[in-house]
Amino acid sequence: MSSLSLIIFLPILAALFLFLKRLNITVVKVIYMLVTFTVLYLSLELYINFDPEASMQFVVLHPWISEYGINYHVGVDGVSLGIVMMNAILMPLVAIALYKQRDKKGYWINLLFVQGGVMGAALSLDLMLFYLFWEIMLLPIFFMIGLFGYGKKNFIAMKFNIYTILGSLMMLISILYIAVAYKEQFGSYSFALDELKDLRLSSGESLLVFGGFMLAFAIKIPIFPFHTWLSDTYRSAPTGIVIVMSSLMAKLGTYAIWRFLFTMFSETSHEVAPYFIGLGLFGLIYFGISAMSQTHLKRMFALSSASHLSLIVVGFFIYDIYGLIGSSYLIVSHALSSAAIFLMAGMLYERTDTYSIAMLGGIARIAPKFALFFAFFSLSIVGIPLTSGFVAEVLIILGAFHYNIYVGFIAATSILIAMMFMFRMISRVLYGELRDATAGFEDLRMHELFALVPLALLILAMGIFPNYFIQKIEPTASSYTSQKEAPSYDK
Amino acid sequence: MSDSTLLSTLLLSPLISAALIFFINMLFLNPRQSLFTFLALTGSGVSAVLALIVSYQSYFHAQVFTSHLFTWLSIGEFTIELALKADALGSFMLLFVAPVSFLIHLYASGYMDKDKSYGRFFTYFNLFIFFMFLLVLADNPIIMFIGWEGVGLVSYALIGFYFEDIQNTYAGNKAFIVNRVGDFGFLSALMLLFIEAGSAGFSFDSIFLSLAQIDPSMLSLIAFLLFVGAMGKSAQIPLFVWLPDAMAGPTPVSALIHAATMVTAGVYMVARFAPLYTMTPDISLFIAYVGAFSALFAAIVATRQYDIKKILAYSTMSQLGFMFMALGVGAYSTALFHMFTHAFFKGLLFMAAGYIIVAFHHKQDIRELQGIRKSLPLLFVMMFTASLSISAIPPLSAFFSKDAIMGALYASGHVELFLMALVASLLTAYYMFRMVFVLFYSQKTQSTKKSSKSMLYPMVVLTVLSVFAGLLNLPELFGGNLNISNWLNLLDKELLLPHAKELLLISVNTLLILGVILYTYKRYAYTQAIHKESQENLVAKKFYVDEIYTLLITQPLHYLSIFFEQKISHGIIDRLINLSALYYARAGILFSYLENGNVRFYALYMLIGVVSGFVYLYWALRGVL
Repeated sequence: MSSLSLIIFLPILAALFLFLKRLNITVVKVIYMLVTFTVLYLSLELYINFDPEASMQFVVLHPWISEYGINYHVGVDGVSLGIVMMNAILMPLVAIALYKQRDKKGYWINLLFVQGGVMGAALSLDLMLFYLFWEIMLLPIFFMIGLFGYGKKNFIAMKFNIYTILGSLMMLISILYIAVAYKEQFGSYSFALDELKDLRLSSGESLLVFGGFMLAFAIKIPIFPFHTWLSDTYRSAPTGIVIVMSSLMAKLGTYAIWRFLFTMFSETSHEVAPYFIGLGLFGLIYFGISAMSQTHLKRMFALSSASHLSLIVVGFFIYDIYGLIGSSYLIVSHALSSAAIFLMAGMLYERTDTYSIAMLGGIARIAPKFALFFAFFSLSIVGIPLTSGFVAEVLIILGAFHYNIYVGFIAATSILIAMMFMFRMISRVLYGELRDATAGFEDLRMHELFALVPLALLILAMGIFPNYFIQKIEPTASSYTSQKEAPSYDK
Repeated sequence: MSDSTLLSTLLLSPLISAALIFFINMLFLNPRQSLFTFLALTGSGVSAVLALIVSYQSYFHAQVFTSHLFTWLSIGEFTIELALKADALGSFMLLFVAPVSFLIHLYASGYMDKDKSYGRFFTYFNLFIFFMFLLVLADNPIIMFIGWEGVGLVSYALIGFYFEDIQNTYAGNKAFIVNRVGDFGFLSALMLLFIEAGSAGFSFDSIFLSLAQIDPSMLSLIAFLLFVGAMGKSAQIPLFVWLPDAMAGPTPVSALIHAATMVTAGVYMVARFAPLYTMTPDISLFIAYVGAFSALFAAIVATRQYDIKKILAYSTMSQLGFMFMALGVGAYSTALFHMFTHAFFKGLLFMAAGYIIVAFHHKQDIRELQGIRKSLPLLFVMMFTASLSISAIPPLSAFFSKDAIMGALYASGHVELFLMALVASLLTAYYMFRMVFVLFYSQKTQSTKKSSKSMLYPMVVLTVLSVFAGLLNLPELFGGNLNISNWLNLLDKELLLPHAKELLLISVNTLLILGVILYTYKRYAYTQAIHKESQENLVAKKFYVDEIYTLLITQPLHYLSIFFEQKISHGIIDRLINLSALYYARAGILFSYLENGNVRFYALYMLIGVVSGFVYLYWALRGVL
């Protein structure tokens, strides 16, 4: 079995095995660790063997439902490599940080399942396969919120699911439509990405199909105005799944825009790009300003994530090498930062039983390590120099200025937006007087440090030596932007 | 040691000592304070010695030190090398930044003695020097920007150093946020600069070579945006509001970061981009006006301040305004020279303020500190000297630097700028000596026993420098030949006055200042005038600038946030979504009326179906029949 298939199916099979066998919780945790570390090892091997000069590699193609042109077709390139690595790195770290708190088997089984689903969706080169994995990811999230969530969890889980399924169904219709259209033009069904890009649709048709896909992605990311599920869902979801949603799933939505829509509907994407750049820039500012008045820590971080995701969307639609690399880099960088910050929010809740900013304070007096890491990760989201976010934001802003000077100025406000709420939040959570909730706040434990230190080091390494990492993305990006240069681009 | 290792060591030694202090502080429970002192002083001491070597070589042998560390980023044409270069301008900056940093480190080891966060303080402090060197030595503007933001970040951490009081951290937040508004301009300018002129490489030299191809209006925009960055960092109108609040940090921080080094980065940046600014005279003039208004504004506000550190903070802003005036009229090296002398006397003044604050139980209000001359005689001498220097009394250092600025402003033909500078300079003498006379000339006496040698020695060194540093750039009039200006060799405009006129200007200026000092003596020495000043007028309220900003920016943003979140996101969008789900359910109820399990209804549906079928058939076949 190739390593890509192993990366995808090892977690899923392990999850199924654990689900069927009624094992002791300790054994479940051990197996979880073994599996995620194996995946991490395989992914690291993949990273090292990844040839930066080539774009798509490690391709596996097995016939599956061949008469309808559905195949098992996976491969990795510079951009998806980033998501695979994030997934592989975050999953074991999440477990290390949380292993003491969570003694429900379902928690770990669902997380394994999600890991496989995300890997599959990121690596698929076949639309049907992609759709399958895209939906598979959803189930564990539904169960996790329903079983382990907080607040009005049932209503929220249901709303989130119906909302995203609505989007996914539109995508399914679009997928089927283009498969049929392909048969009309070429004589057989196909769901393979590299074949479908030869498909010619009238502009009206392709706009509709594009819209179907886009709805699914826009809900998942989320892009304004499809964001209203976000803050409630993040608030209710348990820590493990918030990390999956903010660091992996949302990023997967932006990645899918690039991978599928830009490949298949290159011209339509160019035509609609100005609208999505506009929406993205609007979202960047709208979510940022919305976050300013939040009193609930997780909702604030949720809106902060949405703001950055809008910036990623802008970077992709700018259609330029700086924007593309910047967005890919921001995907990875923000995944690290937001995973870390949600982990720490979880630790905070476990110690204080509250997410309310007004009830916290003075933590830095008695828990200096916690304060240090919390401030560092918050600032890394703001994009201070020497962190990865800085590099990514500079690149996207450069791309934006390249595209259009006004777009550039609005994109550059991203260096202002996050800090407007982040600094005040840091002050109120960490500094000042101790409150009832924070009295006796316990500093970071050893296992929590084990989870957070690698994230911090990676963020720093990506900020200080970005060239080393970007060399893996650059050839993919430049081959892509050079061949996809459309006439409507230069205005 | 080869040149390139020398320069890299200069940059990295404070970073290494910061890292060591950080880890020792984190990992060990009760580390010895002397270990931290040793590491911090070694880190900054090594770089100070190397900096002196570099400037020596640069001054006497015109040697340019370079060092290439690694390629930071390379995408297509966007290649950013982490390269260091100490040309004349860079070496000149090192000449005062590194030694002053070392002296203030020494001072801080006394000031922070027995503080429970001693290690944390010196981690930040050494990290600050690293970023400052990165800012000064960077060979391309992106790396410079990293240093630029880095010093801002450390400044944020140090202003909020005593985080037990949340107000201190708010002051830090304010500093970082206002600075970043400036950085927004700086970064935008760099991006535009790269797009317009970056194809041949993005080091300073290659940028300056391609400046000619840029469209003049774009060039003006870039120059303006760059200056927005400088406004933030160097606390000029309208982005100055953070500097007075920044005094919440420990006093060594105010001395090093908010007086001697970081706040002058804006001046350095404009001087660094001198080739750009000589091509945009409009923007340069704008800079001069911003500088003039800032100098005047800060000097006016300083006359009604009572907190010893705030007086000095406004004074810093005012002096920076003088530097920008000089930059604006094209007297780059003159501005830099004033920055050079300013580092010594303002560093000294802050250290003296810190000494007083430690000696008198953290009192900072000059009204409560009256009559301290008896207990601190040496300090009185030093503070008096520094105040004479900042007031530009010959032959102290600032006389030469400030007088050169006045001369340049006069020669540039902008009389209004000259007059504003003159008024600001007279006010400088007024607010400085108001402070000195209130503190030291009073019937009351207060005594203290505290003293610290490690705080006193650096101040003595700086006193000597504040007296004599002016001699380094002696103008022709006094038999010198502007050594520093010649060394820097920037694109200075020729702004020469005839000697007779220059002499007249100097004499009148000095006489006026002496007159102001005399007036201040009459008014404040051995009187209670300080207690009778009104607290309610416009000046005492600092022209309500903070209140206006809150009203115009902070509050509207807050309300907008609530409006977005509650009215739009929840009130409109989410409600529509929930309603659509509700109507979906309603539609289900509607259909369940039809689907009611009653056979008569089904027969009716069949009848309707059959009739419709016939109607359709009739309609479809009507042509055939």
